[in-house]
Amino acid sequence: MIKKNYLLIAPAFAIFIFLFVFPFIYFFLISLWKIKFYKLIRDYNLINYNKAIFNYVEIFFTTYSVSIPVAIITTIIGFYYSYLARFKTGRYGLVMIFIALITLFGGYLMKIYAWKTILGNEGVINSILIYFHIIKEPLTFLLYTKVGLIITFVHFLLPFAILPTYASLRGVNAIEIDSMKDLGAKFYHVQFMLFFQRCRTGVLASFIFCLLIVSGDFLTPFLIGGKITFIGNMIAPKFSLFYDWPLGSAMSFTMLTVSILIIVLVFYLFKLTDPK
Amino acid sequence: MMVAADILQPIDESKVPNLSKIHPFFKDDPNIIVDGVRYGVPFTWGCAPMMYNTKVITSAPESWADLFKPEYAGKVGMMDDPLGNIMLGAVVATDAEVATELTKKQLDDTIKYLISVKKISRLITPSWGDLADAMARGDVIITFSGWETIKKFCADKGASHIDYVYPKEGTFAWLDTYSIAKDAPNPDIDHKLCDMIVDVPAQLFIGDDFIQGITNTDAIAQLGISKDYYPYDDLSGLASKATFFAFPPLEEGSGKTTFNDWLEAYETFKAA
Repeated sequence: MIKKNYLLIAPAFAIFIFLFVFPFIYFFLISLWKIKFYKLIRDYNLINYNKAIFNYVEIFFTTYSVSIPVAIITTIIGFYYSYLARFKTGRYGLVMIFIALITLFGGYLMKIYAWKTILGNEGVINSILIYFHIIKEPLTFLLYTKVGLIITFVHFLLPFAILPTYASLRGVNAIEIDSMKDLGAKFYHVQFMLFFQRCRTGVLASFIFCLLIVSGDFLTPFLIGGKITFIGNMIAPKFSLFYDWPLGSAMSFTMLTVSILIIVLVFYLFKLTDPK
Repeated sequence: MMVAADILQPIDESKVPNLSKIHPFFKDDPNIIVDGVRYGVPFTWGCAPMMYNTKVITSAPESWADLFKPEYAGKVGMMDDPLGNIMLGAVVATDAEVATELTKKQLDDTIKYLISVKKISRLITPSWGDLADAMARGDVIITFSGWETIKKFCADKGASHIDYVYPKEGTFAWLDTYSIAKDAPNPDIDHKLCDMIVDVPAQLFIGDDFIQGITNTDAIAQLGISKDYYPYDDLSGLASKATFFAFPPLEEGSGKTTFNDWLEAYETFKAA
């Protein structure tokens, strides 16, 4: 029986090894090499990591100054959307989840261009505000700014935040919440318990999804961010225009390490909420 | 550069009869003729003009310095084009005779200038299409660098009030050519292809269907819609406004900065 189980997971394991582990090791090795006149030289050193850490500090800061707020906002909105779908909307809860999921069919680029249309100088929001004489000049902070980036990312990532939090909330019985209320718990007590303790796995999964997707993105900042540069915008040309795969790989691993450190920190912050 | 690398074979001009119809501005460009030997057949071209919104800017700007007018602050657009931006920056901000042969100081000055343009810019787009989009939507009203065809992109979006101008400091131009690899197995067919691409039907197709600049004078005379978007009336005069430059050096040793130096310097601009 055990042998049969191993066989069943073998295809998934093979895919994981060949499409994730091997490329991961390959790019890590490359990150220790160097490039000379467009040729890879197998000369192990840490020069690329030195450059990746010290030459791009401001860019890393810019990237995480957007990705951390996006991960927090999206996780909170996603959690409350899931809460409504799980406990407050009865049989329409599944419809809410279906609506959230169906937005994934829309396509990433289409959403970016849709937000450009909505947030631009002659976009929907500015046109309405000008039409009703609420403003005289278009609001320029909506597009090509961090505000525009956060709005676009939150909209795009919401399904990724809703799914894990809803899965966690399905494990919570309504009787538990009723019992808490009977014992005098206020609304915020219930929410605190659900968010930080009872559904911690789902909430953290949602946070991690959002943080990693935003931190590694380069298309959205390119199209929505105006002149804002993410670390992804510096990494991408290393694999094309520069043909400097070693530095590109070192920058990617540095970004991954920073993201993991943030995730570990958030995990410990959640642990602090555990009952003593 | 490709000739120096010994990867091209000379073009036999007798096998490309349409070459005689190419305007001298393109045909005689020194970058494709090395030691009197031709290595390329130029078939399409373009420049990097300044695009502007005629509804907001009623009289055409004259200088790249106009970008820094206080009323345009935060309304300037650029495209993320390392080679083009550094070439144009060098034309505007340095005394370099050839914008692709820069000393370290000239490259540093160019990057400083580009950073100053970035400070007054609202956006840096990944493509010309996105820059056209931003112009048409009114998100920006003037650009650093551009392309004649952007005017058509904008007109297609209903923004026929977007125009371009070649500022007095000048700009760079680009020229695409057909060349033949040194060991190409069928050079006769290759020469026929070189001839075909500068023949009238192909040139009209490139001009009117792709709205790209063309080089054949007979085809230019027959152009339809594309004639409104390129300065065909004064191609000879264009030489005083836009210059073709060879690619920057790839290898060190000439005392000039290499393309790699450019890319590394461009990162400073990106990070600023």
